[in-house]
Amino acid sequence: MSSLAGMAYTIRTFGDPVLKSKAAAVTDIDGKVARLVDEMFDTLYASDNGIGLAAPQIGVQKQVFVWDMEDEPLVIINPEIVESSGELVYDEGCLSIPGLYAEILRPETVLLRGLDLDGNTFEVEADGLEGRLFQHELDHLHGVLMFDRMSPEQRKEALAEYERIVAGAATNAPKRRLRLR
Amino acid sequence: MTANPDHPRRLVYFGTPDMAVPPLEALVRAGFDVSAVVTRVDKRRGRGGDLMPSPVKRAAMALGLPVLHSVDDALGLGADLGVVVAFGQLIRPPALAALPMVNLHFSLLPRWRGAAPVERAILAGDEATGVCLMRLDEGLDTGPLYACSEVPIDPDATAGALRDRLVEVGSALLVEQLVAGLGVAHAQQGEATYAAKLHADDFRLDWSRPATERHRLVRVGGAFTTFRGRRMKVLAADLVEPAAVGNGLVGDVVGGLRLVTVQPESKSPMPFDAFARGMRPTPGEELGG
Repeated sequence: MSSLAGMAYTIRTFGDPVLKSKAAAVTDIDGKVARLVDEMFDTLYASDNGIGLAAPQIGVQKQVFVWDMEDEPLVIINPEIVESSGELVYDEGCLSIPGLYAEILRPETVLLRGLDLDGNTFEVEADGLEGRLFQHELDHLHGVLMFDRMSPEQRKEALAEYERIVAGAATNAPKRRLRLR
Repeated sequence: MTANPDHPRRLVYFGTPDMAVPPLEALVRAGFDVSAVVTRVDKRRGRGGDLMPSPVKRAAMALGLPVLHSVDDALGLGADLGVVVAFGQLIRPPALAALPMVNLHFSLLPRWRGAAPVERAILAGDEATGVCLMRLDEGLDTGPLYACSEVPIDPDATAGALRDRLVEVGSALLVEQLVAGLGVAHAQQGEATYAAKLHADDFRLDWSRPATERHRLVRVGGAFTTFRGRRMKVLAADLVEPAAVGNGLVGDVVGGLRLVTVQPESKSPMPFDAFARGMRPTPGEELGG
């Protein structure tokens, strides 16, 4: 899966207002959307440790996200969570907050519904890492970031940690994992 | 979203006996990609000398996972982490260098490093034990710890029941730690003790020792004495008088222990009253002779 015309876009990072605004539903799945998806995959594959990417992360305010966990490129358009259950603390990272990993509590299992590139409705259920990815990417389409999913104390610590990461990108500070609680 | 590179997803599992089955099943249930299961080779067992797979091998086949019999074969599969639970074989430094590994150990380390931590904790009269997830290193259960869970030891619990509980708690700990991503491992702290494997003669009941101690041995399983010169297993006994010593039978009590289930040589296990009806021990008759 790759395109001839595709090229990796710069990933918008924390502080960019595009990450805080809501994406619009896709009304017409045309060649432009297919091209966007190609560009998103090129960007995802050029990233460090990326497994999922939402359109706003490359500055496009459309409800589209792509993911690839097992060498299988997947895309969903206008996704929504129709069911969720359980609870899971999972170590989450974000291409728009590079270097930071934080334990975040969310539902464990989600059922996602949306459209494929042919405009057909499909549903996909996932737990574990993939279930977490669905919720994380869906948040991007609503202008929500990991920081917004943290308790006030954890957010304070995470913001400070991220500042250190940004400031010390060149230095070799030991990596810390932000524990929940 | 990014996946934490320190956060294992693709695993190789190393285990052999029954107690290593639930953690494997829990990892698969939690969605980990188990690339292969490494276990001991099939053993010849039973009358026909049929080859018997290990319990972990049977479980792996039921889960549709590839089974290997050599550690080295598992190193080139692109896994992030090896998970070792009661594997029963030494894993050598070159393998550890090729694939980082964690081990679930059934004690609160550094107490009871070694082969028989559950049995030794009961025999020592510990009020609690536990299970720890550690990074495997070259030593005998000396690796740094990611996390431990404590499990109380009920004064009447058998080793089997305690082991089941430890496996249940350990499976949950393992999944919780791997799902959240392994954090920092901390060096073991405190006094190390060693849980040497028990030998056949360690299971002989010593009637000169207090009843509490003998009761612990019965709970471990396999305790035996002799009656009229023949071997007799004591499968279950209640503690009546903790400090008592002695080997004379008074009713169903001997040296502070009430005998509940016994198994005379070449017979089936039986309640003590069935034994007493059949053998008619004389009042005060001594065991261990």
